[in-house]
Amino acid sequence: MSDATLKSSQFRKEREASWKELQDLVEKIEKKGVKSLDADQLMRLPNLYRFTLSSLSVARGVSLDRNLLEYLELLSTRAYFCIYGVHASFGGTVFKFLFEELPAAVWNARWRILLTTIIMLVGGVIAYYLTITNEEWYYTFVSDGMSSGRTPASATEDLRKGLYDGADIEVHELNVFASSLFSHNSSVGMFSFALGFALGVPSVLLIFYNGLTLGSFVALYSERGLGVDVAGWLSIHGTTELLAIILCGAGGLGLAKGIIMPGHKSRLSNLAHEGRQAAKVVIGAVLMLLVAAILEGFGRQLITDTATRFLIGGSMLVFWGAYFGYWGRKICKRQ
Amino acid sequence: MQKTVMPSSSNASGLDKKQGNRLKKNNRSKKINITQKDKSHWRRVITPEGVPVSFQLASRGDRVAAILLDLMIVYGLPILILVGFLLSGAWEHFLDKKEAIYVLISVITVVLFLWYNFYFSYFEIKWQGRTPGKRVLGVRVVDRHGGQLKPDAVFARNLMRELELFLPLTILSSPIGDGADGLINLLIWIWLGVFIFLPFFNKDRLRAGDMIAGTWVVKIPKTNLLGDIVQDQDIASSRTSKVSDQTSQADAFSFSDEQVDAYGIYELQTLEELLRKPEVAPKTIKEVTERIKTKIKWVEPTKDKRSSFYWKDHKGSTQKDREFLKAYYAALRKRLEAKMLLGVRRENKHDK
Repeated sequence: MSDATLKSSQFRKEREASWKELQDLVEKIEKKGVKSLDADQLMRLPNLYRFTLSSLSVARGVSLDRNLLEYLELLSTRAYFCIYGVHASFGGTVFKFLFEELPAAVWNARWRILLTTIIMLVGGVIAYYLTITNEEWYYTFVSDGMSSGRTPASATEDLRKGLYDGADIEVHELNVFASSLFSHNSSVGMFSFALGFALGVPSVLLIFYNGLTLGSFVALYSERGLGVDVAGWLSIHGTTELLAIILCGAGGLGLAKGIIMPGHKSRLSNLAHEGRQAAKVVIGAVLMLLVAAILEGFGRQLITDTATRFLIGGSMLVFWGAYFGYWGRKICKRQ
Repeated sequence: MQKTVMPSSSNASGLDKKQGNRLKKNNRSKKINITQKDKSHWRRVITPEGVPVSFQLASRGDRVAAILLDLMIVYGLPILILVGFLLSGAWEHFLDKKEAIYVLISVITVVLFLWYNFYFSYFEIKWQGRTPGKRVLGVRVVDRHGGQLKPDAVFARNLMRELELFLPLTILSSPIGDGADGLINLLIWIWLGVFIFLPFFNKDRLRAGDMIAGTWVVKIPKTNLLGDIVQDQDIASSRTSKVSDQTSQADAFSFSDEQVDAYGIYELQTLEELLRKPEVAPKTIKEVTERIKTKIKWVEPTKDKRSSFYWKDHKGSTQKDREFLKAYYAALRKRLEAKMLLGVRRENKHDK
């Protein structure tokens, strides 16, 4: 009898109970989550996992029972994913993201952000001069939906009123306005990031087009002597909103960089690295757009004093500058 | 002695055997193809403990089914809630409160935005790489390099859905124009087609989102630990020895070294598969037994001739063949495992 028993069978007999125990734990986690385990089981889990992994290593050397090998291998894999899955508490993730990852990711992408800003400015300047010289260009750059009646055909007084109305709107209507602004802008921002996958060309075009619209819009107002007023109107939320859009575009360029200039690593693995960094930037941009929507929906409609508008817009810009430029840089250096 | 066994086992067989061999080879090559096909979507990842573990890439069908389920939830649930809200009559309370309606609308706008855009991300973080649809289909998202699946990777892969999934859906639901519009639509569809069919054009079945996040979608099949054939054999043999008046079965089958050297690991595991199958045609068992017996030049022990009436009884002979196969399996495994411990892995019967 002892002669008939194989070493591998003996090996199996001695360890089988622990494997079964791990299997039960893993099945419980898969069904109900890690939290369903009690303290005892949580303590056992890593031990059982390592035990099974070592069993697997040994079994590969001593056993030829395929069912046993497959069982151990897949059990180890399942346990491995239970242990090394996403294990972040939501609050902790948000905290770490806001105070470390986001500013660092933005600081690391600073050259791309600069490039995107330049692209947008170039678009703006071109559209500004074209529209100043010939108002017909306005219709080319600003779509009907965007202008919503604010065209060169409108009277100056109407345009001025457009910049300062809202004081008489009731607050609850502004809720609707702000929330729809937020969801619209965020969709556009995320979209411009996703477009970066096509070597960044659509992202650049989208940013450039945004610059054109902006430049043309400003030109229309400044021509009528409303330059300062429109600047105030734009700045209160624009410093945040435009920066967020620029960040999304820069995220798209990050993807493009991953594909075009992979550096030492393979394209795919570099893309994976760049993609994760860019995703952080874009999620940050979505948060910024939320802030911008609140500023635009409430602040711009309720505050009609140009100086105050400049003050708020300017201080937002300083805040973002300090957050990304100073804090982000500090974190990058620390790492 | 050993030297004479080798050529004789390959040569001495007549035409019948050659045919048999060819038949077996055909079977085998088919089997190898199948296993290679199976292996082509198996991937390995090395755990931080340094042990390679393997899993299966999720099939494209599973992933399409998972996404359809998720889409049904993403779009269906708000509609259901809306219908429920309208049917319940709760809206009548809001009719006279204008402010409440505005607040409600803005809350709904934001909640819907978050729901549509972060449904996938939320569940993949919360449920360790699984959305409800993926959970039903038993697939999950994992890191390609075996590390932890981080929230930024989850966000990255799901931000791409904007382009891969929601844009085509939007275009699909908008009316199709003709003329120049039709052409533009066609171009848009070609462009989107690249993204939609990307998982069909790479061996790891990555969609664009997986590429930028460094993830892939895997399926980990559940396996059960089946009984050990070698231990079962002891039980089985003791049971049969009670029924039949034979002496110990272990004595009935004893193999010489040359006999257990006839096969390698591949054949051993094929035999294991056969023995583990719950339903096998008696004919197959008989064929396999006879093939092995011919190969190892098995001589029936003399006492078997006494009870040769068993061979006429169909069931009895199958049972007896099984016994033989199990005994041979045990002997072969013992031999091969002993060799493996000394560092020699004999992959198959051609491997010397």
